[in-house]
Amino acid sequence: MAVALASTGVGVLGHAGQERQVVIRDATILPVSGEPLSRGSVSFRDGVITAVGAAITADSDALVVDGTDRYVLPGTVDVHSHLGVSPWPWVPGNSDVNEDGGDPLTPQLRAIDAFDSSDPALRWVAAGGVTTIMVLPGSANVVGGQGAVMKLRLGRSAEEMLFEGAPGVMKMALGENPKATYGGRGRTPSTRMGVMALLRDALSQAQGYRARWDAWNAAPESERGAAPGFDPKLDALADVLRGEIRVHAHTYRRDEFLALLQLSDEFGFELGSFQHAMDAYRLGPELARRGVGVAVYADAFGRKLEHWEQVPQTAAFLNSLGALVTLHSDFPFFAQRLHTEAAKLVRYGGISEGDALKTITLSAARLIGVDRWVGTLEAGKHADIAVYDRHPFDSFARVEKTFVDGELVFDRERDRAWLERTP
Amino acid sequence: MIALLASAVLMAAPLVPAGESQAGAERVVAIRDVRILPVATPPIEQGVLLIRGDRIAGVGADVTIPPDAEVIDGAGLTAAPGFFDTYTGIGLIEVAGVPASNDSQEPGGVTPQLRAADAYFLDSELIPLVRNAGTLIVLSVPGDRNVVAGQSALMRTAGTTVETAAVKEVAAVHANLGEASKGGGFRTRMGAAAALRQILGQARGHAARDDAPPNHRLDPVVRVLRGELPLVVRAHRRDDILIALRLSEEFGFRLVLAGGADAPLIADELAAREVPVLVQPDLQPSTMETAGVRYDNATHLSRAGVRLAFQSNETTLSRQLVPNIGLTVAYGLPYEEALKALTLYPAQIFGVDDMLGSLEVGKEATFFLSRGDPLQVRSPVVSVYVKGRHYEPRSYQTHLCETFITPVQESIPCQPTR
Repeated sequence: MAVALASTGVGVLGHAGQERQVVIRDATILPVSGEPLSRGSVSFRDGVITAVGAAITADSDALVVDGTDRYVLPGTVDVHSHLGVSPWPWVPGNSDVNEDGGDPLTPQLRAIDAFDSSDPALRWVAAGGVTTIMVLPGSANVVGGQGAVMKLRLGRSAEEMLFEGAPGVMKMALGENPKATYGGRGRTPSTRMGVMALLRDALSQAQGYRARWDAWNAAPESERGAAPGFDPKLDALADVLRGEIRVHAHTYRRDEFLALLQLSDEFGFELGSFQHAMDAYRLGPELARRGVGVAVYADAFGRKLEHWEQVPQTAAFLNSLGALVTLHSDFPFFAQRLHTEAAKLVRYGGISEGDALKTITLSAARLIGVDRWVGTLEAGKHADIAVYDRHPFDSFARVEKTFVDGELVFDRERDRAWLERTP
Repeated sequence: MIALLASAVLMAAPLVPAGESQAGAERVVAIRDVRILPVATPPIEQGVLLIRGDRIAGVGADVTIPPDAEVIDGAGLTAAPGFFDTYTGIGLIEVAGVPASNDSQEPGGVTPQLRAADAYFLDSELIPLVRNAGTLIVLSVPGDRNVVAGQSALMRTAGTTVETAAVKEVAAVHANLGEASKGGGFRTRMGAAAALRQILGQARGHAARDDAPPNHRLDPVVRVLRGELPLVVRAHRRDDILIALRLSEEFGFRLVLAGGADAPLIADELAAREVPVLVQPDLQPSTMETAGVRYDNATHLSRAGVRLAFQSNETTLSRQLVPNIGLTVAYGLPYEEALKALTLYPAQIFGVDDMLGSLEVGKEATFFLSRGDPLQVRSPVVSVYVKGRHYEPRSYQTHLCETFITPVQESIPCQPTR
């Protein structure tokens, strides 16, 4: 049974718990995990991709979507988002991204506690083909707090949007932002030395805290005695030291990358990524060797001194060395157009189209630690899918449909009323 | 004064930057087998673009190449007139966060006496970056915090003196209504509107005096009242736009609207009053006053007959203007109109279409060559000509790439090649 999705008026298709198969047929499939299929199909059921290939047998009751002249891709994964914690409109009453000016070390803060799941920008970003976002606290504090990996399950609560199984996220920030936030008030950190001293001090306290708790937990109940005191800050950092939470650090300069790598060796925590990482092209082989994630803009730069010496070849260069490199958005506009940002890598760095797509899908999922579930179109992965009306690197391309866990969260035809108010 | 200027130009001559080859007055260059987007006339799939000195001497499929011409093979390339970015901080802002290199904002609330040309930083590292994106003319606008911000300069993105780089050292007077101006000395929209009305009224009184002495604050506003300069008003909310329309009617000046999130709501009125709009294609509904913006704003305005030009409203991101134009086409603006809103229309709005805005014989040879459609993000700009002078697509980023990347990975291109 061929049904045009637009005319069904059905908002929820093939989502978790739904048995009916959905098949997108006769489309160009860019699965990222392999070569493009010029006339292929993707099927999914119960929120999971069931098959990707040239010929897929549709169940008799399947919903069949005609994909002629369409491009089908895995949903985009954005590794640097402030959606929900800095919701539109940007007025002071809405801003919950930076707990700044009091304590530069706030590992106990959790983005999920401020996430506004009705932020209108979420829908815009879903309309740009994005399906997973890593929501981060801001960069005013040296340790800004715990991020949240979210699925764009629009209309659900913040808790329901959490990506099950995703590793924990701790946001750190080095350089000019914490310097300006605290130095401007005559406080520490006023220098990059101050930033590192604060980090080192906090981590060594957390080391002791962790040892006390681990010893207490390991001891037989009869010999335990009173539990060590609870400290919400050190408790969160202890989880970083235990490897349960990955560190994602806002940093631009090479000297900061090296300092953080050294710190992660010294304290044994997992460094998930350098975010923004403008200088990464100066340290390519080392970053590739260490396997640390590197998230960059395609060609945005220049508002601060540390933000100045950008080259648009960074991602292509790091990719050529085998480093884990991704694009990121930071702002809702870039999030809606990450496919255009990826196209810039082809233009400026001569990267292959397939590798450029990886920087906004599979590599981004790896950086977060959710690549088992998302980032490619493969049987068994989540049905997080974007359908474009042109090749995603075409400047005139638009996303027509976005599925998250098989649920149609954005449909250009169905959502016309919303589109006529906003894009 | 003229003698002084002339000597300044002569002194500047040896300081021509690397890659900027000298164009003799009669140097003749023929780019053959090139696809040409003349803009004012239909595309030429394969033709010749002939340049003599700083002017275009021939455009067409059957242009005869003179024997003394330097011939360039344009196969696979597309020639387009230099794009305009009609609202930038280029030249005024280098590193925004470093006050020593930021000359954009002046306190005062009403500062018509400020001239962008007086602070324009010719050696900005951003200028080659913008040039290499095909943007060859920028409107450099004083900061947006003041109700009257000052006088913008229409600048080519090449040139060794302000005088030679300028298309117009003073192109417009700029006013800001709405949220931005509320931060700059006024607390309400009433205050901002009153201040704008006050300076317009003062200028009208000043202009009426036969014996008026020079007044550096009022004289640029007098030029607006006399129709010599447009008043570009940045406004988003419908009521802010209507304030600008009311004032334009009351004082009889030529209004250009910048931004205009709500402009489609009054598109017919803007068209009837021939008010052009400088559209920012990536504008987001992220603030209270832009909550109504849509990606098809340009489409609605164009259909209503409003003349459009594009603006980045940016400085370091100005080179993203062209990739962002794709959004307007994706959302219904005809490709030809998008191209004109980058070229011919801004040239008309700022009164320079006699020399810029299209590839026509007699106009200035300010254009670029791209590999592929110049509106496509994947198409690199491989060559730029400004007033007939050729510029390699190099910038300080090319230098950084060659310093840090090439020794490690030679295969990464640090600049696009022909």
